[in-house]
Amino acid sequence: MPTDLPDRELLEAAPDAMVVVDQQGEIVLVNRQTETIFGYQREELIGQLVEILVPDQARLRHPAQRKSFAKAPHQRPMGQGLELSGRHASGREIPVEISLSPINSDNGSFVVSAIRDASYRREAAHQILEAKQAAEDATRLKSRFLAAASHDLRQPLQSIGLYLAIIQRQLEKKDDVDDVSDVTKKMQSSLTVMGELLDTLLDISKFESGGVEPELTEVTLQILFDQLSADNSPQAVGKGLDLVIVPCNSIIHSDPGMLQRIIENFVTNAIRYTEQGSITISASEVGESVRIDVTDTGIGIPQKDLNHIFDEYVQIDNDVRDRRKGLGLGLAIVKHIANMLDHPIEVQSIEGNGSTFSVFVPLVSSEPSTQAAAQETTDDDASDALSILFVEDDPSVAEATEMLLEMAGMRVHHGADGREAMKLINNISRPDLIVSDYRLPGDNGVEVVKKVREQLGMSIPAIMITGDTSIKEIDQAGLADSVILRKPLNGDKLITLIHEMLA
Amino acid sequence: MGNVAGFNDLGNAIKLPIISVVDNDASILDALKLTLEDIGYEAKCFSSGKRFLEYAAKNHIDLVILDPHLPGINGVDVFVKMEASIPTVILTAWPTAPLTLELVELGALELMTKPVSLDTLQRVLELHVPS
Repeated sequence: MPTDLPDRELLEAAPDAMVVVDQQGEIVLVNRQTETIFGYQREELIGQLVEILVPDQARLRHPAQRKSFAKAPHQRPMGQGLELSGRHASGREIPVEISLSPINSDNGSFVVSAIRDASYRREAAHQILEAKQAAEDATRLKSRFLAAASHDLRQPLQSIGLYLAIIQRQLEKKDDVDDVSDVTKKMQSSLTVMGELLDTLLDISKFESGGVEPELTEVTLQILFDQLSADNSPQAVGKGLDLVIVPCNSIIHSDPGMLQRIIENFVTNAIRYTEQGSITISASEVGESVRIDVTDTGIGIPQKDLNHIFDEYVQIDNDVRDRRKGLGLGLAIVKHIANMLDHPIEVQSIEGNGSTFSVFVPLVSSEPSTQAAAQETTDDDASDALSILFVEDDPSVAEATEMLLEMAGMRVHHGADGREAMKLINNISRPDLIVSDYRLPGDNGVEVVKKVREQLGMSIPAIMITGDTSIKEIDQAGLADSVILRKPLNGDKLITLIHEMLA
Repeated sequence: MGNVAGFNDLGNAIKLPIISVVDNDASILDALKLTLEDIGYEAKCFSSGKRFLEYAAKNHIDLVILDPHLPGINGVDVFVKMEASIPTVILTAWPTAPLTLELVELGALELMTKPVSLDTLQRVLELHVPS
């Protein structure tokens, strides 16, 4: 045993395994840490070739490495940049970092290896690498979404730009006002598309950056459906489509806001890709789940595309060949939300016939519980939710008035003419009051109110809005339970009047 | 056969130049149709390359405004299939995408990026198809 080696106690206290090896490669000295890290008693190691601590696949090379070190022995880390492993007594590999030091003594040359268990550090390094990779992927994804969306915005901008130029020319030529009006109406749908794209961008920043945590609660599906119907009927009706809600009494477990976002996206897509017929929202209980379907009679999706329909849709640096306008981004977001909620989603489609998009949610119960009933009454109480059927064909007047009434806590269902009003009546519950402009395309306001009352089988109070010229006409029409309000509309007056009439 | 712009001295009908638009965005087709008709062209619009080629096979077209990115057969394939027989300009939201660059390579006369102004559109058209 060499006598001029480092103090034994220092050796024993060293935090790393210290293994001293002679010129023949035999272990002459180990410390406690060696026993701990490699799982041997020291007696088992002394006299053994150091290769006993080397994993099988590196064992063959190791003697040559020792010889190479012996030729130019100096203190250095072993295998710089490589991920080294040692071999535990049990056979398992241990990630290690090794430093080598030559020692000369009267008894010959030795090599001291300081061996550190690098398991923790290597695991941490791998995790950091993975996290970095994930972060880079997410950033790339977000960049792709953003680029795709910003390119998509160019389309509606193009339409709007051209329409505006046309209007400019029409005005210069003093064209017929109706022709100008036709063009302004066309701009509306492009604006809607832009709005949806911007909403999607907002969703990306909210959901992709993990800023949203689902808040799961009992949700009465019928209430969700009613909201969806109210929000989306105008768009459907405007395109000549029926938006049908099949009543359901299921209570399910989900985050109502996020679930609404999913179904609304299905509905918006259905409306966009359907030219005629209907969109139906329905729910059916399947075991312990409820399957919510949005079915349309639209153009359908080719079989080969069905598998990818929920994928984020475009590789910027590659090919925009398979881009679906709006559909790709929206459904990718839907998939993301559905994943967060753990709600499976699926699609079925027949090209030329239509599609059904479905989301599965956990069922709680099939009857309206007292909790749900309470939910309904609280809603009513909280918002004093008067339901107003509002018929007005001038879009800016309509928008301003709608805002006014909603700020006063009323639920406004707006139709631009008699036809839209009738379609609304089919989809919403009975309104408390009708506010209608007298001068409308098609049936005038009085006729519309009469038809609505007939359809509902009851005399709903009505407010007729008109300029001076029509007052005599309206009087002569003799509309019961109605009040005439003169233009220009005074917001306070309208609201006060509504309350008075319903008191 | 084409809208008649008027009659010349010999009493023969002067026909408006015919411009085709191929783009799968319905409102862009509509806006362009109105625009082209307003500035003195006849417009024939198609939402698919297939239908455009069918029409082009039997009818004279003076110029086509083509979006390279179309569902089904894309703009490059359309250009190739018509054997570059119709002067073509590109109107696209993706000016640097491979399909767009390919179409430029193959011989498109102009590359316009959406949104293009009416002024620019008019100048480009006047250059290649005087109205």
